[in-house]
Amino acid sequence: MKKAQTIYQQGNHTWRIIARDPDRPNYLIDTNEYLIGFNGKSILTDPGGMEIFPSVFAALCAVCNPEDMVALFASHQDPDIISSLSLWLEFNPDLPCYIPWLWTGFIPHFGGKKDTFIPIPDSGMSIDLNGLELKTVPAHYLHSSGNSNLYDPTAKILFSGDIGAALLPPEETNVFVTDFDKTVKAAEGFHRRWMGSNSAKLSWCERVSKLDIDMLCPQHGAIFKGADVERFINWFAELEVGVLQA
Amino acid sequence: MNDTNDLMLIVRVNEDIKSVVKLAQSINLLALNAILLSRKAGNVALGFGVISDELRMFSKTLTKNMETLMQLSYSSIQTISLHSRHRRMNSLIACAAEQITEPAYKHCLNSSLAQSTQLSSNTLKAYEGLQNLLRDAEDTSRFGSVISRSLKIEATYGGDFSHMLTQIAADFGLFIDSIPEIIDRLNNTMRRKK
Ligand SMILES: [Fe+2]
Ligand SMILES: [Fe+2]
Repeated sequence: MKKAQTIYQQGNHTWRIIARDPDRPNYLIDTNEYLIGFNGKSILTDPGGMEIFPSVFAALCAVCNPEDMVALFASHQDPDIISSLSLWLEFNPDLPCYIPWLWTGFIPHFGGKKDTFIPIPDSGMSIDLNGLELKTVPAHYLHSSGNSNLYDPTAKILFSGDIGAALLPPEETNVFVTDFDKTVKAAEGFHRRWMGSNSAKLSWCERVSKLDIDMLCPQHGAIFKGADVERFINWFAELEVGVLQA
Repeated sequence: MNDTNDLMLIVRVNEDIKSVVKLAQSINLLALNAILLSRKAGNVALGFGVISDELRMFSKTLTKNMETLMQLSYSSIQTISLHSRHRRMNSLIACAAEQITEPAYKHCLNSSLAQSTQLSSNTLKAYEGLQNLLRDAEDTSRFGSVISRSLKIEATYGGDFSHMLTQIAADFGLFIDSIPEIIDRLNNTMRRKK
């Protein structure tokens, strides 16, 4: 089973990471889910694949009442992001799911009805979590052609989806980056191959450089914190992406 | 009841377990205070001290009962999810079967139905397991009520301290008396499932 770990807490405002499933079979990529809580209500980012649903759901039950979840947020259409949708909807058929508008015809193949989906426009939007304002940040073509990050200006945390993802060895259990060079080494091949556009990458780097970010939280791997956030953005800006061979 | 309610049911069970764990923690804290106070009171509160220690052990046993219950509730999420996924698949296969006359497909439908029955019985087994564990918790809780009553009696022998001891015994009573209600609710939830 996965475990939820608090990475930010200020009164009733929390960020938790659900990560590192020791029982996960090796052929499935490891994923991080984040639960953003504010005054008793919460949103789950990139809820994950069908196979890991029980593990994520049990980890959630340990730290909160899943009945208090008010929405799902899916950064893009991938199976490791949102193929568990039908099971979340079995639990709560009225749970809305924010998705990039581009995928509104595709993600329903995983489940859901017409009013399940709240489309995120290309330019982004604000999401209200029980009085806390969250902002989606456009991250198109990184790697998905319709792709969104989620920024919490109060906690200064950016959920960056696949950006910043590092394929770490299983013995790396720390949820925070401890060795920047080692982490980006594990991230390099992934970013070169998966991220499709250098110009999209540069415009994302410019966009997020303007945000005040204490933690950059990817969907795979470890969280960049403090000075490592800027280091990562600079590293990414210089990396040539969209290449088949590293 | 369908699977939506199965997941919801586990969530509610789990929330009730969490409240019992919280009560057990409060009982543990109160017991530690009671033990300290009985030491201060000396000979008149010897019995009170012994029973308070029993209550401390009771809170430990109750917490253990709840932890085991919680573990089982987590693993039943796995069983329920599998069941739910399969039911969805099964309905798609059944839907296709209406349009396909090929006998081989009939076989496919039958084996899917058989698996459904198996998964459904696994789910019921998970609930049975939870109910068995609940019975342990019920026994523990009953034992708690008995010691809590003895504590109230002991408190009256506390001499100058008897007022304070009576207050503590009453506090214990409040915590302990609210446990059977939660366990009853848990039992009813499970029973409705059958
Ligand atoms: Fe992806
Ligand atoms: Fe991913």
